[in-house]
Amino acid sequence: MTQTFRQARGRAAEQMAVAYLRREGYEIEATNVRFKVGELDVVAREGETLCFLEVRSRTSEQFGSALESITPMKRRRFIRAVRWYLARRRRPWLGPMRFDVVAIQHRQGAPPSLTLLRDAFTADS
Amino acid sequence: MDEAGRGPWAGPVVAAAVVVSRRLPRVRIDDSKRLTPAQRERAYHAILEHARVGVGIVHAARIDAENIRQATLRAMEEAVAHLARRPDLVLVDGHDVPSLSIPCWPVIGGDRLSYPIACASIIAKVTRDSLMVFYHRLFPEYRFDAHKGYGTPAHRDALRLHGPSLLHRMSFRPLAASSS
Repeated sequence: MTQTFRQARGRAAEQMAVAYLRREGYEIEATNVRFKVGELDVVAREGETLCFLEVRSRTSEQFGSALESITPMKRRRFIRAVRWYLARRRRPWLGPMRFDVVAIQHRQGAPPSLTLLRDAFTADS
Repeated sequence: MDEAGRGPWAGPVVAAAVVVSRRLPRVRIDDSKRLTPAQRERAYHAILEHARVGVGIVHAARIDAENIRQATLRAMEEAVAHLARRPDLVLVDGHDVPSLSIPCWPVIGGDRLSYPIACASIIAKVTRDSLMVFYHRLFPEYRFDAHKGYGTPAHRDALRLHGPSLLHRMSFRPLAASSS
């Protein structure tokens, strides 16, 4: 399958994020979930909490840019996808939930740094 | 990770994966195309001595059976598989990466930007060139030692005179045209 440069980087970023989350103690439930209304990069459990994760990767140097790249429009798509995921989950989830962001910052000549932001945003914001 | 021999009419495509933990003393490391053959040779031995290296080779018959892109990606997979230890992340020169369970990060112009990719470009290039020199002894009429399988006027003349060899990529344009 032909992948574009951006897709290749997106996939690599996601793989890095998943490896990192496993080390942090997350239990991965699903990756790369796609619905017509939007998509989820990673769904995982940390302890009793079900977490929906968005992986953002940026190569620019400014700090915070990976987070800022989540626009209100993207957030709406993300939340719609979360609703779909919950509706389709085999067992209904009754516990707490959270939205996290993994920001991957790439710098030239150094390994990428991953930042995990727990509870990065809420459904009503 | 980098590759050598995507373009030539004959010979394999070679990929190399290199894990270097620190800069190598007293050798110039750069994109293999920006080093002289002597510098490449020196760097090649230094890298083999101080770094972990994996090499993947895909031959012309397989390039013809699939295509050059798939064959190159296959060579890259092989190169990573031949590393003694699985890396956490692979930096790949160019925009195209194999699909591995290890994240592969494409870096356009990586052979100039990244030290490990530059090392890989040197390993791939020197490995391929020495293979072609070896093949020259099997098929001396094509002068693989001189052009390493790339399309030069001398190579074209040899093809016209002797026809393609076992090592030629029949799916490549100059050869596909001559055989039909």
